[in-house]
Amino acid sequence: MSAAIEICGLVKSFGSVKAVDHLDLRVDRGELYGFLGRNGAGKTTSIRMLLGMIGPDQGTVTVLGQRVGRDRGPWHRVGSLVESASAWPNLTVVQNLRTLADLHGESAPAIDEVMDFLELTPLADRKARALSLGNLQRLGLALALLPHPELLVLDEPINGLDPAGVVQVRELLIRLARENGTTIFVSSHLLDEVSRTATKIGILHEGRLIKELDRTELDQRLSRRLTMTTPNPAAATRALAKAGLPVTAMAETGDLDLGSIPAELVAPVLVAAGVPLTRLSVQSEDLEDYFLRITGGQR
Amino acid sequence: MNLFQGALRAETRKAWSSAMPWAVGGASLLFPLVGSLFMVIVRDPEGAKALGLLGTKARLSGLTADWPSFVSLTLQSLAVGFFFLSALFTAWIFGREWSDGTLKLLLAVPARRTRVVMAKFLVTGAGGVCTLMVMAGGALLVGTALSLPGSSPTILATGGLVFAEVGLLTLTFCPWVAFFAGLGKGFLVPLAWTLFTVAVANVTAVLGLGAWFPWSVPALLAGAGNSASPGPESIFLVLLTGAAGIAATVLFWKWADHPK
Repeated sequence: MSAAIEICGLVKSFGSVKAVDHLDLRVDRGELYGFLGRNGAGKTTSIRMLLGMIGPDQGTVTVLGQRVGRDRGPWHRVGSLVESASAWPNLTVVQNLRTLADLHGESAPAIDEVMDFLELTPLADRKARALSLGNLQRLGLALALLPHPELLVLDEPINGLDPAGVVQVRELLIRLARENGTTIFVSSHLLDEVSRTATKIGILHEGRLIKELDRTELDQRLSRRLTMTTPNPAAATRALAKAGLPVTAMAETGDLDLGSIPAELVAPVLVAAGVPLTRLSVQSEDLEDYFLRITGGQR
Repeated sequence: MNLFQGALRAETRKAWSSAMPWAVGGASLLFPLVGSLFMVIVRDPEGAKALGLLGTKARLSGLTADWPSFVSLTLQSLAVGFFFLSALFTAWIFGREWSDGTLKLLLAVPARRTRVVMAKFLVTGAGGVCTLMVMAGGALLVGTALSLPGSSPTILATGGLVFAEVGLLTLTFCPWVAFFAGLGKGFLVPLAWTLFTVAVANVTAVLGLGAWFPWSVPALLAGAGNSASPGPESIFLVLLTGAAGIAATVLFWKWADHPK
């Protein structure tokens, strides 16, 4: 079976600015792909090229086995939400859905189904311009889900949602991927969110895909470090150094950073030296730290 | 359901769900009302002067308070007023997709962009024809209510034909307004384009070149400037301009980058 998305050598410049620089990417069917990058990394430009809204200077995009052009693509099988959610402001929620359904040739039952799915039924007759940001985002998602897509392309889908909405969308994406086999391509600056849901992650930097990891690789690569708190850090440092376990003091907290030293080696040394221990913990580097580390960014 | 019919339904729903068609229809009634005001002033200049109306200016315009003058006034106000109203409606139908950020909802859908654009043009055209009917109906009602003399089936039929011709030819300028709505990504550029064409149309008409500048032709047909009525070549030029505008708009939607 062909890939859900296959991008080969994609290049796009706006004047002298190279927004996307020889991007190669493949998303297999059923994957939940997290597309990460800083602002201006080229995520939205890539997504717009993926959806035929922008033509590439070079390269090709194939979606669900069909080559994408500016007005050509398998759009009856693709749902999308690009950048912020938009809806026709003078139309009600249900009229917005009917309007998009008309452009998809979809039938009315799909509208009721998607409204129920995203809990929009109570807002059916409310004009889109009167919706809160969160509900507008929900409507944007409903518009994306309307064609029962095989591929869902979402650009920052949880922007503006309250914590309950974020959880709901997270569960929705996982459910769509697991139960319906929907391929989901999602970009987000909320790295923690992506790390919770994605089965594969691509990191875009200055228009290039600089890292691509699947779930297992990501978990392995996120470095872990051991830290400890003690009322007597000087004694602890001496004892551990004597045992060949180098530590460094963390300036901001006064805790000790033991790096990648296994926890099981530390405790016996401290007990033998009579150094009291308040806390010993393994801290994982989160995706945000990892992202900043490989893109050369700073907190 | 046919996707073109779907696009047409979508565009019709979008158009009718807002206040714009009603605003344009209401504004179109102003023109026969202003014409009727002139008739009132001309019929009773002293009374109008007493009411603070511009009696002297109306007398100087050489108008008489009868159906032929009223028809002529209506036609001239149609040439300019309907041009602005139809341009406003077109700029709104097309430009709002950029200003509301909804263009992206129209780009990656099974209904091809040509169909979406043609559906928008059909809705624009239908709105224009409705506006013309409101204007014509308003003029007939006002003229009848004023009991203007000089009514004859010939005057009304001839006036009606010219009204339809001027109105329909004016509608052929809408595609370029639509094109500039896309190029300018909103309302301002198409409205600036409309003002620009009106200004150039005035200049070319004054220079006697109006028959060769499409945007002057409807006003010349309506009898503005007391120039000779333009010939079939001018009408052909107007139709060609309209067709070129449709092609430019379709090509823009199909081939331009839409990064916003």
